[in-house]
Amino acid sequence: MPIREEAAMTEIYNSRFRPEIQDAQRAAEYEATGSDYGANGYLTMRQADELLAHLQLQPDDVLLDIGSGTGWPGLYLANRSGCRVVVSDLTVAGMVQARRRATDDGMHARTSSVVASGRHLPFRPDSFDAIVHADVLC
Amino acid sequence: MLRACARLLRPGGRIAFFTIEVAPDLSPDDHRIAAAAGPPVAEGPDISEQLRRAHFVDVISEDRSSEYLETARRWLDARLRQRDKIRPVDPAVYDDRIRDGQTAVPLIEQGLLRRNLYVARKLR
Repeated sequence: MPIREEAAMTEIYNSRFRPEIQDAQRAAEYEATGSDYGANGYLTMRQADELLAHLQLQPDDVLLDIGSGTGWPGLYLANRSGCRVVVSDLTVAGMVQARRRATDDGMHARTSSVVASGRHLPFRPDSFDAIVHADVLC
Repeated sequence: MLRACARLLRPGGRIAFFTIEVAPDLSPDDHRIAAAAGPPVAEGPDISEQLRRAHFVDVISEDRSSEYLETARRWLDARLRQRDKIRPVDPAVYDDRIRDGQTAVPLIEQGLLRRNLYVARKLR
């Protein structure tokens, strides 16, 4: 994605991930997807469970969620499997909410958050056991 | 981005993701309409092929467009029904989301936009 387009997306999603907006649409999110992580997208709870099965996550695994927004589905998958997780997103607003959710769910110690573009991920080679993303490869 | 994922995964590591795509073999007009619609959509070479080129194996691809349509309709319905609660917080964001939904649903119904699940493993 060109830098200018990425900057525009960042602005849009920083606006959409504001906590007051997420709080107001929480019931709609739950109705649409079955999730309550403050997500805006199309990944349903049932599909997240499918991802969990496909990724075969173990407690000593490290999962990377690219374009995680407010932590969905990375935090959920880590919570279900017991693995460590790195959630990453273009937006600061999303990562702030993800950190808050990780703390609320008692996952603070095994959650890291990184503000980064999916095209320029600041990690060393061979760092992860599994990678997940939902509608980010656009 | 898939090459970057391959670099970051340990040998044998797993990747699983959903992605929204413009349907293949559309007329130029339909392609332009689908590509212009929100959310942003993937274009370019077939993603299964991109995975293989990035040294992934055991590639699985499944069309999940019917679930995509169902979820898009549910989002739109829920947002419209809860307008009085959601819109006052930020009318511009709300109106954008409604417009996105009203644009996307007919395009999914017509088969112009698709959503696929991909699963693969990095070569050991």
